[in-house]
Parts: sequence; C-alpha cells; structure tokens
Amino acid sequence: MSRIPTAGLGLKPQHYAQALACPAVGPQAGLWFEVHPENYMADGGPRLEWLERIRDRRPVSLHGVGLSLAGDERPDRAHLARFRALIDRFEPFLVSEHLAWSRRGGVYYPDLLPVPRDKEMLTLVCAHVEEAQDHLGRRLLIENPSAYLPLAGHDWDEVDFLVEICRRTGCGLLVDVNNVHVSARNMGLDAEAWIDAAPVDLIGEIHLAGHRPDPIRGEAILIDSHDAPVAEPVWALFDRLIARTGPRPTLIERDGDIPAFDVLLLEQERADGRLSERKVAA
Amino acid sequence: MTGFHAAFDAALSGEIGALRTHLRDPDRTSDVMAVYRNTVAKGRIDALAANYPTIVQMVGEAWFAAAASAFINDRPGDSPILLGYGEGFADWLSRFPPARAMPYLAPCARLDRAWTEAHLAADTPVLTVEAASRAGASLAGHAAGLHRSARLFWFDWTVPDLWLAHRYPDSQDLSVALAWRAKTQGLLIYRREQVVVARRLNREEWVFLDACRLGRPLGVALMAAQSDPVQGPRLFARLLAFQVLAAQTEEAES
Repeated sequence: MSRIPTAGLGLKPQHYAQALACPAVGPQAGLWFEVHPENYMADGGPRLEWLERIRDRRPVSLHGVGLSLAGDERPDRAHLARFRALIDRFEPFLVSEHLAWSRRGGVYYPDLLPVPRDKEMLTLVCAHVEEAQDHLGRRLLIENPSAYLPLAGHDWDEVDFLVEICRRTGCGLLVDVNNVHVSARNMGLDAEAWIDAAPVDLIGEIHLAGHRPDPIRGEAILIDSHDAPVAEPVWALFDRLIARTGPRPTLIERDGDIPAFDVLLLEQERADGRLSERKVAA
Repeated sequence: MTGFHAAFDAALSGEIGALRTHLRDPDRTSDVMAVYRNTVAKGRIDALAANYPTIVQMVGEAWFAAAASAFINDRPGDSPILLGYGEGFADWLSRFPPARAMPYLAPCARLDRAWTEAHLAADTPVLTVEAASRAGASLAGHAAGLHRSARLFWFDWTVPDLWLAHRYPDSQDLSVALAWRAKTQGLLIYRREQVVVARRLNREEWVFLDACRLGRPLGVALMAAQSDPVQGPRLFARLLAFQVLAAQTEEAES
C-alpha cells in the first residue's frame, strides 16, 4: 500500500512554475504529481529537467498510456526500455497502465481501446502484464477503462476480470471513478454496485476526472474527456469508494481546457479533504 | 486469437462488418465506432497541431484540421510518444495540392519540426569561452561539431522572417511589413540553457557553422567562412558566445 494517501494533480507543462513554487507546508503539504511517461521520453531537454526539479520536491507517479497491455501483440520492448529508464531516474511512488490496447500492426492509436473479457483475453493480458512488470521492475496498477461499445462474449464482469488479473500477476488496481461512472452510464450498468464490489485490498490509486456528453449523440453517450471539472455524481462515487478503502492516493486528472493551476488545486484540496476525513475516521 | 483485434482495427478504418459478431447490439456499431474514430483522429490532429503551431497560425484551425486529417490517414504514426509525432509533415505539405498557393508553408513546417527536435535533443556540453581560452592555438585543429539540438537553415526566400514573426513575435520587429519575397536568409535553431532559441545568421556565420556541422576542424571552418585575419577571430568569438559549438571530448583534449 502506498505511503502517500493524499491527493495529487496531473502535471501540465504550463503549470511547472506554480507546481515548483507550491509550499511544502499548509494545504498542499501532501500534494504529489502524476505524468504520462510518454511525455518525458525525450533524449534530453527541459522537460526532463523540469520533472527532475519537481521530483526533488514532491512525490511523482508515472501513468503509462502506450504499453497496449490488452493488445494482440507483445508489449514493445523499446517502449518498455524507455519506460524503465524513467522509472530508474525518477523513482515514482506508483507506476500504472490501462486494461486497454492502443497498438497493432505498426500503428499506434492514441486511445484506450476495449477488449472482451474472455478466457483468451485473460491469458493474453496476464502474459503482457507479467512481461511489463518484469521489464519495469515494478508492480503495476491497472486502470479500468471507459466503455462505449457493448461487447459480446464477456466471461467475467469488469471487477472480477480485474481481480483475476491481479491474482494471476500480482499487479494492483487503479480505480478511475470517472470511468466507472461513464461506463455504467454508457453500458446501462450500476456504478454503485461496481464500487461496492471493488476489491479494497488491491486498490493502490484512485483517479478522478471530468466527462462530457458526446458532441453529436448528447447524453446518450458520455465521453471520458478529461476536459471538465469532476462531476458531482463522480464525487459521490468517490466518497462511497473511500468509505470502503480508507485513504488512497487520489489524482485529479485534467487533459483538456486546462484551467489555472489554482483552480485545479481547489479540486485537489476537495479530494484531499475527503481523504483526511477518512484518515480521521480510520 | 478470436479475431477481435483485427475486427476492431478494421472498424476503426470504417470496415465494421467483422466487428458485428463481437457486439451485443450490432445495430449500434457504426454509431459507437464513430466515438473511437473521433478520439483517435483528435489525438493525432491535436499532437500534430501542438508540434506545428506556426502552421496552425498561418492557415487557421479549420484549414489545418482538414490538412491534418489527410496527413494522419497517410501517416498514422507508430509510436505512443506523441511529442515527436508529425515527422515528414513538411515534405507532405509540399506535395499537398491545397497548399500550393502557400509556398512558405512547407519550409515553415520544417522550422517548426526543427524546434521540436531541438526541444527534445540530448543534453550535451558546449564549448565555453573558458575552455576555448584554455585550449589556445590547439583549438584550430579541433573538430567541434555542433550541439545535438542545432539545426541550420539557409533560404533563398524570407522564410525566417515569416516563421520568426509567428513563433517568436515578442522578439521581432513587427513594424516591418512581412512579405514573401526572394531574399537570402539564414537561421539557426538550437537549445541554449534548456530554452529553444532561433538566431538569424549571415552568410559567413552560416558557412562556419555548417562546416562545423560537417565535422571540419575549427580552423578550417573559420577559413571557409572568413579569410580576413582580423575578422576571422571576431567571427569565432561571436559564434562561441552563441553556445552552440560542441565541447571538446576528453579524447580530443588529451
């Protein structure tokens, strides 16, 4: 279990200066930052230097988007090597990826694509997670994706499938509460039931983000857009989850329509407050 | 495999037939696949726009999005490292029929690409004034080379004027009317103290730096650029201050 059960922020280049200047005491004492390692896979330059300076002051976690763990091809060795180099350099307190695929036949898709949760896929994903963990030298946390397409042929529901991956590979879970809400709405499932079934002992991190109705289809499909504040129903699910888990490292993600750093800090403080209440209650 | 990935892959390209057998509600396939197609396209177009901001400014977001849609179909990209996405966009633009009326677009895209490459290049030491002083006369035989981030350009048209006015508007004299016209202009794009900078070059500066880039000894590079025994050292001192010449390796120093 992480020793940093506070709230963090996804770090954006436009916020580097404010992130560095954030005082280490007071409301942001527990603030940590998460980045996509793919955005720091450079030979050199200011990005790596900035991240190094941030890392000197705050805990950092790495949240990958490019390993394609649910793909029908093995994880790319060169990508694993670059990922490992960042882990060795920045010593993140958490390392995570997704139950999704994004690469096939020499083409990278900048999305987190779905798979049916069947026996064949379980074997494939577990092999890829084990290979990734071996190369990275770290236990991975695997994130539940947002679903838009009702697939046939599932042998497990999502929670049970994730638990089985953890059981077989030793990885942990990153619960993206916004994805739970979005998937439940899109698939006609019960988000609260998902939260209530989530395996407490396996959850190493929580993500909170915003979503929007699809620009063409409206409320019929919610998009995990990360370009809006965390919605109230997602906060309610978060409360429900941490009532079970107690405090866990919780990230506010924002990747589009990025507001001022102080605005994001308000959401981070809100999450941090909820986690502190759970700490006291525990 | 059950063929799911291949079917989904095909559906991303618009061939949804094979995916239908993997869906609970095949009638909704087309509708929902559009969500995935839009997300994939947006991810690539946003990455391209981030790496070619000058082109976006010059043509506007709508034109850029239309051109980018065609580019991403030709070159969807094979890497999750989107920081470097869009290699070859300049050459592609030079062959893109709707861009023919804007001959400055492709060369400006080359400069945007050079900015990205300079931003991401390896950190390597540069030849300092102090090190050059210590080396003394032996420096003439040293093949310095350039810092890994350095990209050199020489144009017969006012590409640097146009590009600098868009990419570095605060440091340009915008009171001078910008025009696309024949005029030789040199430009150096490189990273100095972790900031990507662009410097205009006159002909002798460009000749000297290009000779360094090709691995010529500094003395030879200097002779190629400036044969005047008074002006030569001044040129070298000026370019040394740029902090773009690569440091001597230990092997070369010993």
